[in-house]
Amino acid sequence: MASTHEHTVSEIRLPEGSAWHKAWQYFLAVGAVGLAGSAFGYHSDPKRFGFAWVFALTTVLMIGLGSLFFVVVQHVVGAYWSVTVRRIAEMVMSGLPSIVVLVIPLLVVAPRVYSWMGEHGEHGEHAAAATHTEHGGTAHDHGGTAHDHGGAAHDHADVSSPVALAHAEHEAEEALEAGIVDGKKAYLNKGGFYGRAAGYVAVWSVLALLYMRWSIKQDEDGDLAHTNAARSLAPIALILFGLTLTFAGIDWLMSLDPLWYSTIFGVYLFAMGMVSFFATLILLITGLRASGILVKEISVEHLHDVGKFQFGFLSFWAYIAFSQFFLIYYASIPEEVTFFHKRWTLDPGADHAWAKVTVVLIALHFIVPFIFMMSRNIKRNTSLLPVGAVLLLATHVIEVYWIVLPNFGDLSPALVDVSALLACVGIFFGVGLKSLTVHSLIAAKDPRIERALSFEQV
Amino acid sequence: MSAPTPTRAAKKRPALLLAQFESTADVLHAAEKVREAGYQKWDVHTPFPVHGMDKAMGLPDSKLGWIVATMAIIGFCSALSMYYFMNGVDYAIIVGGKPGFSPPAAVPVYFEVTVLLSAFGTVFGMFHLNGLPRHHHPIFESDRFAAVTDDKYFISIEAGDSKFDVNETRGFLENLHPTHIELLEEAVS
Amino acid sequence: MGYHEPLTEIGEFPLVQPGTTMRVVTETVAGVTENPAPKGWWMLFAVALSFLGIFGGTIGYLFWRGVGIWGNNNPVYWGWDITNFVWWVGIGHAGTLISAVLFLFRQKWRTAINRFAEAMTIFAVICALIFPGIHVGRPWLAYYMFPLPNQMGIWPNFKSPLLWDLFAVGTYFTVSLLFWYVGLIPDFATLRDRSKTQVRRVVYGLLAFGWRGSNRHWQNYERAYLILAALSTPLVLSVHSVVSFDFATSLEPGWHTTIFPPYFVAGAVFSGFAMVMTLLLVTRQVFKLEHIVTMKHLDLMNKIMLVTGSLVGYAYAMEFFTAWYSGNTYERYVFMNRAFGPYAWAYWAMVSCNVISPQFYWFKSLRQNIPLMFVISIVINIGMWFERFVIIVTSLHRDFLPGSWGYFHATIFDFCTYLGTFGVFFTLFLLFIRWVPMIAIAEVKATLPEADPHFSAAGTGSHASHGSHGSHGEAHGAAAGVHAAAHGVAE
Repeated sequence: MASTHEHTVSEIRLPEGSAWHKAWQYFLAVGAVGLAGSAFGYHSDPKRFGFAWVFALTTVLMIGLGSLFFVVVQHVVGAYWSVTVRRIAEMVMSGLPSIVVLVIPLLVVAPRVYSWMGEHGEHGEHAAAATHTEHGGTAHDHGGTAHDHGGAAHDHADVSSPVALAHAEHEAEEALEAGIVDGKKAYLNKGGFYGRAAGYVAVWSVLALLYMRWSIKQDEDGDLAHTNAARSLAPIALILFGLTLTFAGIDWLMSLDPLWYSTIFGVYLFAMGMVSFFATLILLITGLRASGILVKEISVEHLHDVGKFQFGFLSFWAYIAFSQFFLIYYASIPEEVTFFHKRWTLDPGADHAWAKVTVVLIALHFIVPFIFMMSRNIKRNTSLLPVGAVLLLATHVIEVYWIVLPNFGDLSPALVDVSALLACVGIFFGVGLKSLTVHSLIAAKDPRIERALSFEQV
Repeated sequence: MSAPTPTRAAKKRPALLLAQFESTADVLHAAEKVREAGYQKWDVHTPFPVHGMDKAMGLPDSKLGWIVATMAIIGFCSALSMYYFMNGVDYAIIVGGKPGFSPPAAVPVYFEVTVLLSAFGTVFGMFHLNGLPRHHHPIFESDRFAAVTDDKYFISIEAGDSKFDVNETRGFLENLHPTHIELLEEAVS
Repeated sequence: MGYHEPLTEIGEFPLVQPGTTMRVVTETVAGVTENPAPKGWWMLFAVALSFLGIFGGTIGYLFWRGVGIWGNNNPVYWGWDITNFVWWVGIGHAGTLISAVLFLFRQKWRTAINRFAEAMTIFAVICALIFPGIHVGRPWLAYYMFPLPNQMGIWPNFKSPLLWDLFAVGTYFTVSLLFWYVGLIPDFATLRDRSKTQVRRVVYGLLAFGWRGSNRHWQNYERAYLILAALSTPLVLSVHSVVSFDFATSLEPGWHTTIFPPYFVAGAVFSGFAMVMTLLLVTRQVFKLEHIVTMKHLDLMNKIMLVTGSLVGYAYAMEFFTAWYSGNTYERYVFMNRAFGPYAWAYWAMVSCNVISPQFYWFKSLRQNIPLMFVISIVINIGMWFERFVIIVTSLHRDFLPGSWGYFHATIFDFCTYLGTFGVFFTLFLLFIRWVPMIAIAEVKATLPEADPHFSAAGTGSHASHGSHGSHGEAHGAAAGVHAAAHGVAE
């Protein structure tokens, strides 16, 4: 029989007339404006719009996946302190199904953004050329292809001309690169890309809907079976989460530069997602508290713990991001170092704009918030903690921009970036925050809620 | 039920009054009363840290964090300057195409030295704040007090407290319903 | 917060067996150091001493003849020595993880095993430090590694990962020792206060630093413990990351890969938990600690092994995938060679031990099966040794040019050095469990129901003590406590 638990906690609804009732509508309105701008952007330069959309989609996706991971992990470990904040996290998570819609523009423009799809990119043309030679899959073999091309250049051009030589070298290099990209065809192909995208979106939406449903159902009937169901699925959910996050990262971000690779990339995205999610959570909680909602239920003690997680994941993010940078910087292997070379080129005559963005990221995404959020007093201060969260969210946006846009070219912020970001943020949070108005703001019948409410730091 | 006052040596003076309790709840409530009575030089002794006792005693927050923060800054700066001097100034080694002093290439060293000195600050700072090691203390004269590391709880009020008066304080402690009270003395030097 | 009855319907459980009181905890743990050692201890100690003898002999011969007695060759210039180093350092990670990370996550069940795991950490790191020390060939010049002025007039190279190792492992050893000692102070005071002989009183008294359970001290003490935990958490990540840098900063295919730092850390936690499990199962049996180290503790540790084993599996898969995805001929070759080349046996031993064997722990009945978990813990230890062997030897044995391809054959001295470090480890470990409280007495007490001031079951309070005050160890007080604890859990 369904076992229940004695309940002393009652549901909490948004008070009548609270501005939060309309939050989701404002977000959707912003999203609509963003969509209109994006449509205009697509019309004037589809490729540039594509990069803007990858950036905007990744920005909100990371927040959404962070919330999914947080909710699932609370079930795995049976944490009780977090029960009062879990519903707010679930509300962020319930924005995830909107990715089903948000991913469509990405799928439409993908051939223009991902050069390996072989439509509008240089690599693509050469990849096609290289296939004619019917060489096997390895880079080594394609070294041979490069030679042939060099030879071809040799025939047509005057050898003594340095311009022609440089041209020949350039062509040879391109052919080599095309060969390498061609060797990845078994993974980097159109069918795989679309099929996998469908899979990722399905996994995220189903998991988000399931976890939200169990939690909401328990509000109604208080059945402990929901807690147990959520816990039983959690290990599988985590495995699915890890795999989809990693491969979506490879498909959508890493393959923007099809030559570059890094094994840690999935872990890096995970860390980024957690940082941005906790920043969002802090802003939502402190925002609600500022309007007099949940002040007692989510006490300073809970906020302190969320702050600790924010700080902990910020440190973890720094560790992972630094490890990736450090190993690539130290070994300085040409095929890897391109990633940081694009973002940190100080060659005379080159555009140093991306290097400046890198400096901004180091300073404002790590050094300043790390020192700021270290103190226990800041984590317990309801007006200072959100300052750190705003900073981390802003730099999260910059960081994703810094990952995506250097693959387009020099730093050239455009209106289409803002439009795409507004569209994605607006739609994602519009969908997510709608649940603020329909559900209780705390999981009132969770078996651990009493303990969560009386929780204090030791 | 009070213990006989030891009278072995003439040159002794009261050091502290010790009251024994049997449960965390009892000692916690007693501690609240002692604080309310306005005593300053007093203490609670327990086998493990009792949750809520700092608040009951009205203790200000621990200062340890400041010591650790100072040591962390010293650690970071000393590692950086060690690297700068040794590999940048005194004996420049060019390795891996990097200049003698290339800040990112020795980050692990900065980190480790920072943590090492912070840990020293934590442990020795804790000893310093606690006045430990201190092997001689009048409280150890009590035979019952050995149970403080087992399952008994004690409150001690020192004779150095301005409100301390042997009889009055003993009466005050008796009102807290301890299971035992004793007076401990120390030699007059 | 404080004590709360466990909700068994959703899988919660009491931390110690119902009926365990403060007195029982003190008696059980302190008793181990006070009563004569059981026969099992003497037998194990004799075995450990004989391995220590092997260690002494091998090291003596090594210093006499030089590192040529090992199987290291060209191109396999790192062999078992560095494999053993990484393996021991890895084992040394569980202790700090249990003490620091689980402490920060408020996983109270850790109190039953943290002391034990911390001791294991310290001894494992000692074993690890032996290897780079003897690998340098002329150990009497080992001080060249330190940033000290020397007769050559040169300074160490701060850009060298091997120097970072010195700083990282040295710091880790020092901080672990401090952390361990800080935790021990109240427990040494317990032993001091119970001592029946003058020698014990003086020795434990000195070790306890005059601890008197003062709440003013507890306040700073708890803050120190929290800060040490907060420092140790990034430290424990950094140590194995730095060890991974020894490989990953190089240009060697199979070594240079960006996932190495977190992958090594996950592997270290994995092997460390496996080693804790092996030792805990034996100790628990020999010293009869089943009511403090309960089945539920073992179950949770097995779950952590399942998680870390799966993370390690993720890293293996990502390495393989990225080697292919990189399109780099040499990367692809190294991984194909690992799986299907002359060392395929080592590779598949690694995969089956590390990724497949923990998958049994998906099932609760298997997570709670003591013989099975004993076997799996040893299998994982073997698998993690193979992981380091695979990384080091298979990447090196076929250099870029086929002219410098080779194969590594271990010699009898490789075996003896490795076995010898077991002698070092177990000798220290057995001495530890004999003379030092192997379970954190004060910390376990703080997790008991009666430790919570708001726990108000009848029987613990003043009326139980009326009969028992004056002398400790009476049945009355203890029985009342048993009643109270049982009451609290049953409600």
